[in-house]
Amino acid sequence: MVKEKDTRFAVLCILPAFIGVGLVVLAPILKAIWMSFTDYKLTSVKAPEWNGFANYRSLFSSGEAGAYFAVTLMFIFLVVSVQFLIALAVALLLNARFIKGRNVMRALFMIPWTIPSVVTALLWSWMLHSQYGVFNWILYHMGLIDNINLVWTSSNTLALPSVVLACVWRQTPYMMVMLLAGLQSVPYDLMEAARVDGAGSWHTFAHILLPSIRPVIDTSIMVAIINNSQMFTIIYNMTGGGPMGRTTTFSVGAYLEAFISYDFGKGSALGVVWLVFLGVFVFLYRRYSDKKTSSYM
Amino acid sequence: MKEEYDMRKVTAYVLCAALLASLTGCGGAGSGSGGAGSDNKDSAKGNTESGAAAGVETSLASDNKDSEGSASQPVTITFMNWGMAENTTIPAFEAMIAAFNESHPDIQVESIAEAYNSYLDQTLILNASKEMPDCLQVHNSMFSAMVSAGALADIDSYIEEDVRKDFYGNLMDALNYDGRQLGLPWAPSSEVLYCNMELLDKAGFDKVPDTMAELRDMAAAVTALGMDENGNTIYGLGLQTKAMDSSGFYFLPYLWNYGGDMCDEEGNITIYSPESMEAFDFVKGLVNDGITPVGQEIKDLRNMFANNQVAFIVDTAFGYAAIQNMAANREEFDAHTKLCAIPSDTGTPINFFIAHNLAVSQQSEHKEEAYTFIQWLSSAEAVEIYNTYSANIMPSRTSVEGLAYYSAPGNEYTQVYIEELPKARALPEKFSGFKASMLDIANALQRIIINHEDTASVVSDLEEQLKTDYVK
Amino acid sequence: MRTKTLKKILVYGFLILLIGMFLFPVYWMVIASFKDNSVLISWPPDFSLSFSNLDNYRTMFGNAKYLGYFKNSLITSAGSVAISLMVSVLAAYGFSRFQFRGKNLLMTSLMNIQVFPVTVIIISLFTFYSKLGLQSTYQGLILADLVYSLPFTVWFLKAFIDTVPVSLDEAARIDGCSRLQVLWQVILPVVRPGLIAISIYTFLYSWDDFVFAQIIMKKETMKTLPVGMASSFIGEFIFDYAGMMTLSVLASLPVVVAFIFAGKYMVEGLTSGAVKG
Repeated sequence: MVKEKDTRFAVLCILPAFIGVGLVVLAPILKAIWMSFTDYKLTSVKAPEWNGFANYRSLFSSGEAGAYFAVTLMFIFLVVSVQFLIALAVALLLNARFIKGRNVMRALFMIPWTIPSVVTALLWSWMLHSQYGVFNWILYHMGLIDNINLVWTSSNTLALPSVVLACVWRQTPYMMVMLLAGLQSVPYDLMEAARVDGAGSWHTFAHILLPSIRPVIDTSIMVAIINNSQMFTIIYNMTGGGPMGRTTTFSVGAYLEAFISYDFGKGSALGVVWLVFLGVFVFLYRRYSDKKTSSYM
Repeated sequence: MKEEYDMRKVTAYVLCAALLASLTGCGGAGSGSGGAGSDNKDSAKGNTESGAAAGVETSLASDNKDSEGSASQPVTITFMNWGMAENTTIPAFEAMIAAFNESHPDIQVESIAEAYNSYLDQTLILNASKEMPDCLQVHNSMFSAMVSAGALADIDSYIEEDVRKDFYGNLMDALNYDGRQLGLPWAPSSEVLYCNMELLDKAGFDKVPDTMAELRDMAAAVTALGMDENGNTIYGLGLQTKAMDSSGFYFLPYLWNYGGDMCDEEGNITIYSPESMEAFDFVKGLVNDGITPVGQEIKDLRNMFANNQVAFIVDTAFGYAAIQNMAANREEFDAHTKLCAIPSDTGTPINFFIAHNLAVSQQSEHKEEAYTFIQWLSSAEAVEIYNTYSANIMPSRTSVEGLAYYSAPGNEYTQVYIEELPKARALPEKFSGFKASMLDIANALQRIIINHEDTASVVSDLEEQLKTDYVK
Repeated sequence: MRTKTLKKILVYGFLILLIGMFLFPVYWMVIASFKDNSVLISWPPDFSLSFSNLDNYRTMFGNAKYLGYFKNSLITSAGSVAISLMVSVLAAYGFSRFQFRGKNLLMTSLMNIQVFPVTVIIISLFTFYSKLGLQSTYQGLILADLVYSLPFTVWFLKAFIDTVPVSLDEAARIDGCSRLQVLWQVILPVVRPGLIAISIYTFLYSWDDFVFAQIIMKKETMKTLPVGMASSFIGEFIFDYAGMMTLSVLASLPVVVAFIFAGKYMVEGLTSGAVKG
């Protein structure tokens, strides 16, 4: 593959995107990085003072950073893996040749994606309410739970699953659309050929279907991971980060530091820690994915 | 081929539109893009222009303010509030602002609505960006944060002596920081005990409790009723235990009942005491015995009270109207709801008050006009309008007590709030760490009732946490 | 033959079951919009759909502000899509067709701006916006939404353009086309489906945006749906479940209908492109 080494033109092409990004977020992020080394308080009238790594030290020594890491990774892992498995199943079935009304079914699956997160949060905390939520009523009368007043969003064990459930519900449509599109691009002949060769359906799936939609899977999962690391609206409105920090992810933690403790220094430090962590992750992913892509071509 | 060509045309159109929009976006001229947006902008521009043109006239005519119908240009002040964001209070706020604008031709008030949940965050952002409105509605739980951010102006010099005396002392003191009066109390309410007499009757009681111990026994008896005929579980006492700041301050009456306290007057933390532990154990007992549901916030409790699922809750005057709205049958609700003081074992009042205060912002260029407006809002004239459109707005001034509304047939219950208000304590809200501290208490409660941790060690942790969070 | 029918029944059955599970909350929203709040906060739950109580809908249609929220959301989302298309097409083309130093770093940093907690940068952002006079303007909100959806659209589109053979470009260049003409006349028609896919993504991103919309759109007449819904129905004292569900049913309806119509293009969309990532 020949690529033109016309850097000037390329720069002109990508410039608008970077101007937009630079205008809106670059300066604020640089400022936030600076704030993370100061004692900037929202409720203080004095000028912020440089305090070196004090914010970082306090985050790590108090164990907050570790706790946020654990919750965030768990949250992202659960949301992304569950939505991926469901979406893959749905996409595989919808991809079956004989399926009629595929467009309508796909559109039906997509409805949750159109419900704003604010509404999603209220809807799910209402449906999961311990006293008058419809889920407890259904589960109890199906004999699946013993306690009709099962507490979800304020429970040690169930709070995280509750927010995961709401997020999965809203995000699976996105994943499903991407995977289905990938699957539909796999030539039917390829599958037929495999079948003629006597390959079983598991073999076709694992060795032909899956590898050929691999790039779609990679990109979609990457996007889902990044989006969920920013997830705030659903978590905060459902649990407020509780109980006892069980659902406090990095983005919720940064909010609590910034707007409950008014400590922008610490809030920014949290942001920087997460930025570095995910930045390395994305960079490595790009390298890996580039290698993959070039091996395709 | 043809389809491709069409597509190209569509794309070209989209790209052109996008280009135009981005150009106007960067130029900020706002001409032509987005119909309503530019309309608003243009009209706003028109206003400021005519305002500037008339500026000369105003200064000339400023001496004969009294002359009616003079062409003098009014000062426009902005009033930020959450009343105009909520459907239930919009009509009342609109009516009050309209009435003020009408009776004060030299001042025009414009409202900026912000949702209650994010009100404090948004205010602090506006303050940090030097974009504060002239005056604002401030919940007392938000007050200290705004004070330490330097957002609120000292209005002491504007307050006339008879007006100052008219306000309730305890409400006024809560807004006084070392001699600086940083706001005026408005729409206050004492927390009182709401009793569902129907449930109590079923459990064999026909009176409201006189002591906390009695309240607990009655609540236990109601809990023993089990479920109602529709399968809703019945609880004795509703307590907030969700991870949010209000769970912290709704716990304070119980803390005070047992003689504990979060801090002394200087803000020194005093929560690590046997008395406090007793209060935490009281809540633990309620949960263990199934007397209170876990993980609720006050809005959930209001729903449950409206649905006859809980016999006692602690709530304000505002809450009454909210519960009434959620109840299936308002008349029945009115008939079986009784209000009384939160019963205390020692006889000392253990209720606190909350208030929607009013303040002038430090950044305002029209402080005097802004003060005139907020002072008017707290007057009998305004509160009467407020109560016409909305329910249960309580007086913050002696002169408002006499409004016919409070003694109107069916509204007699409002006297309970008025009686309890002078006895009510202020929340420990004078330091900017108030919100974080209340969240710490909520967290401690959760550790005890959800995580079943040992009370003594939780309270000792809480003491350390409060020391770093409260006065910071 | 019989096993085939059985298989069909199983697949349809499973799909319908899954659709049912996913749409149950939607159904719950719809029936809630026809009920009074007092019914929604007690057991036994009423699962039936009845159109007898239209009070909530009357309230929605009787109040112009809700229509205003809808209009603002629509303008912002459509505007983001329009600009996003232009900017990301150019950027994706640049990233896909040209080799230059620091490309990987640039693409990574584009993605990374996404991960910084928005709550922390919101003050600097707001100060900047008020200096430029972008508060309470569509341009302002569009700019913010655009920037936050841009990384994904650029990544996805680059993947699409990568799959278009370079030989097509070269042939067009020999015919005397300029590079922009190549993009315009050769590449864009081929990746049309990809454009539709990223348009949907951008549209729904802006549609859902809460944090930026809340801070930028301060004027009541400029508020978008999520912010308007939060402030109208999640008050200081109560949750208005019925009102919130009614408005979100009304707001989602046109979008869902648009999805059904866009369905055909969406599939073609990712078909030709994404395979080669």
